[in-house]
Amino acid sequence: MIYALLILPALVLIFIVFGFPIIRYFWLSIHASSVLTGLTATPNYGANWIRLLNDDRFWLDTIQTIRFTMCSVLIEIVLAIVFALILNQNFRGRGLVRSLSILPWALPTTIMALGWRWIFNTPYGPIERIVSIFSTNSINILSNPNIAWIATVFADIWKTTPFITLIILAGLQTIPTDLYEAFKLESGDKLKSFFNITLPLLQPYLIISIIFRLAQAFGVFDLIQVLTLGGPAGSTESIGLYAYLNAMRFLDFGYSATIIFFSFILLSLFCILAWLLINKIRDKYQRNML
Amino acid sequence: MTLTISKISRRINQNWIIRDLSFQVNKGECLALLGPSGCGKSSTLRLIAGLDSPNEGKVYINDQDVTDIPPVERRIGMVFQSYALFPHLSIFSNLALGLKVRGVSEKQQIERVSSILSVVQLEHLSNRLPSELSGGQRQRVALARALLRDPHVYLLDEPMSNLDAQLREELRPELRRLILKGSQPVLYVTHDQQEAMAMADRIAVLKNGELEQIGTPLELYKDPKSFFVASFIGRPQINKLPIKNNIISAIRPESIYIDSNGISCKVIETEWLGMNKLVFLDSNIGNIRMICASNIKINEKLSISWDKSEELHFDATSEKRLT
Amino acid sequence: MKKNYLLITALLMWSLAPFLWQVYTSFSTPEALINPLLKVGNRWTLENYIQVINSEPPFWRYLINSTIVGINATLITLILAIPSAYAINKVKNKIAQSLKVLLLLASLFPYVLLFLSLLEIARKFNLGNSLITLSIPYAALSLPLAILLLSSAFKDLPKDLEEAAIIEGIGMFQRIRWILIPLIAPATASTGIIVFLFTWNEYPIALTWISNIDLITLPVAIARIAGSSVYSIPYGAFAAATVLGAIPLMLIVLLFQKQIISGLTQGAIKG
Repeated sequence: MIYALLILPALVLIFIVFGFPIIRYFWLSIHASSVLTGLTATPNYGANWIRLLNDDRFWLDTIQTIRFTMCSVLIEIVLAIVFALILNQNFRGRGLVRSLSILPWALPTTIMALGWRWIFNTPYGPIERIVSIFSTNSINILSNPNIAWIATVFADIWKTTPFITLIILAGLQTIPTDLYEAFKLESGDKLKSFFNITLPLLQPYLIISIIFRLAQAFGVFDLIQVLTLGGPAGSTESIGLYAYLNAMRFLDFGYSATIIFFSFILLSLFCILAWLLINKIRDKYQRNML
Repeated sequence: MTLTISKISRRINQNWIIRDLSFQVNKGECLALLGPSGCGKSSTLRLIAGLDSPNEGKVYINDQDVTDIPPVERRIGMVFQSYALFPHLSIFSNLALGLKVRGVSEKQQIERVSSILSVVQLEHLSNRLPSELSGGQRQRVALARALLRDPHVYLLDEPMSNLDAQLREELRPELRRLILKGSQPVLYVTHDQQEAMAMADRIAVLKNGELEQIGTPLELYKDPKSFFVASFIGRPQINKLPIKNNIISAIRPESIYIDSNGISCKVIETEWLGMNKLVFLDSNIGNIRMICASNIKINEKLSISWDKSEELHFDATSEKRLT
Repeated sequence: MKKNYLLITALLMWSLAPFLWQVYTSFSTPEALINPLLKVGNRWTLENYIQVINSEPPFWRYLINSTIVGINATLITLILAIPSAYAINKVKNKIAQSLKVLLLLASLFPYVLLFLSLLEIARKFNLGNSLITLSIPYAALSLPLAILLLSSAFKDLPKDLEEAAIIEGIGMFQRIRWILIPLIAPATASTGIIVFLFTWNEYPIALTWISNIDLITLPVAIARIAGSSVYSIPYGAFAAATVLGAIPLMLIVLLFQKQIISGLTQGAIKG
């Protein structure tokens, strides 16, 4: 059929890029393919998987990645709702403000990650300077394992909040103003109108943003590679970065593929879990509250 | 030139959209396809145009079977409900596009488009975009496009439903002058019985994808074959009297007159129709509608009657006409 | 009202402050960066910019590389996505429906995890170190979202328009070319700009596919400055590079604000 022919070239390309790698990763994960084997794959009967299960660094990275993802997405969503509410108002120069607020999203991650590295610099960055006014102790943002990860979360929030803001803004614009007017006749409380009208009607937009951001944040790589290189003491290393290091630095493709394939599974579980959770909350509140 | 459809059926999954539909539109005749929304009238039009194909049955244009030939070769002049003017092209280009793809020379394109524009009196707007035209003007461009096709058959899909009442009346004579006077058969889809009565030589009433009745406007009015047709044709709607012996009796509001020896009623509602009034009455035979010239007031009491021979009778189960 | 403007100012500060800090840094002398209270005399400088522009290869080289890849990838994406989006809308069966779901999943996928396999493909078929071949994985990665965005644009067009064209005898390819493509132009523009931005900013694949210093893209070039040394990054020069590299993007965002916003939000609404 002619329609199949129209779509075929795109599908082939999409399969090569999205479908094939998943199969290939699984295949590689049951083979040794490293400098030791001269990068030719030889079956190693699950050795990669056993190594993965016993790899403390990997499990630490997994926990750190989940920590990064949860914090980043949760704060982003709240912040984005606030931003969207601000941008949804009528004021002069709204177009310009909207454009300027997209900028963090539009600039390359690596460029801004490097910018953040300078901002977090000890002792010359602006944050340390402000801190030094109040205290003689430096907080050593990027070299303190307890603080560095917060810096990575912060930079990620700054970079990706505009994207969610726009989606939520679009959602806000679909809510008919009569609804608010009808509610005003019942109650003058703006907070109540937010929780009873705005939030429930934004739901589809919130769900899509949460799922999308969960997936993206879980794969975090370039931000961390540039900002901290996974340090200090591996405290900011993510699964994506670990997989990259295994492939490009340790030249162990088999193990790298195992990590990636495992993170696919983890990510899918993660998204399904989030989906179920959101649905449960929705069932509980939607019918009864409205 | 004729258009014939024979035993056409169309279903989507298990649902019949059109079932066993046959009719013929003769040379120079205008047939209105009339029915409530969802009765399959637009689907029928699309089958005839070739935009969709029937599961069963045949379509003939000029006695040639066109069921399996593509829309282009059927030579159809179609006017869409939304007019379907290409919003990014000027009026001139909208009209010339079809000629261009059919390989008409540029000089010919200009000639033919200008002449058609003067027929619909829109020469001065040829460089405008459709969005810069009024509803009535757009409608005329849509007519012009159908005319330009020099078609074997005209298909008009609710051509006036997007216009206000006044414009409709203004455009009716124009539609007659441009399209209905030709020798081509015209199929006119509408849900408005008044428009069907005004424009068509014959009307086919559809219900749930099946042909309910086909005939001249007068036949349908005087001699409806089913209660559905009787209640669909004629406004205000026909009165349904109480069912007796499994028979529905019905009487048209315009046949009822005031008669002191008749059935006594109370006025519960009135509506001005212009010259006269539509009056809703409450009586022991139920609610009755009638038309009255005088200025009757709510709660007034009056007695009504009608000529028994004007009553129509239908079987209460099949709703078919009894004779 | 006053509270309102306070909030707007706060929002702008949040979005712009890090960037303004870069601008400030880029015009500061190294001494000024260490001691912000320095006297006016050697406080400000253009030296950082001069250094970036005179580096080897010159900075604009990376801008050109990124632009070439961006334009290529955008064109390939649109050429493949437009017919696909048209087709996927025409077919109304289960296959088309599940295909749409798969496309949605693919567009949500964190593509970073695909770098290893893509690198293998590049090695196997010798696709590395070329700006043209680099646009192919970019186009492929952008295709799912592009097809979804464009197919929702096709879906929004009134059906009558295409049917009127069919009756006029306009063939499928002519219909797409003369009627449909002009009508979905706004969606095409949005999609194109979003693909371009993605491509321009992409890092992991550019990093692994290109090793020739003359061919690296802007994000890689800037990250390379950072990688040169962990502790003594030439921040002034780097900030100048950031500012120069951000200017084209700022222009794009300011010029195409409407298209970007509608593209991003369409994706969310229709998806």
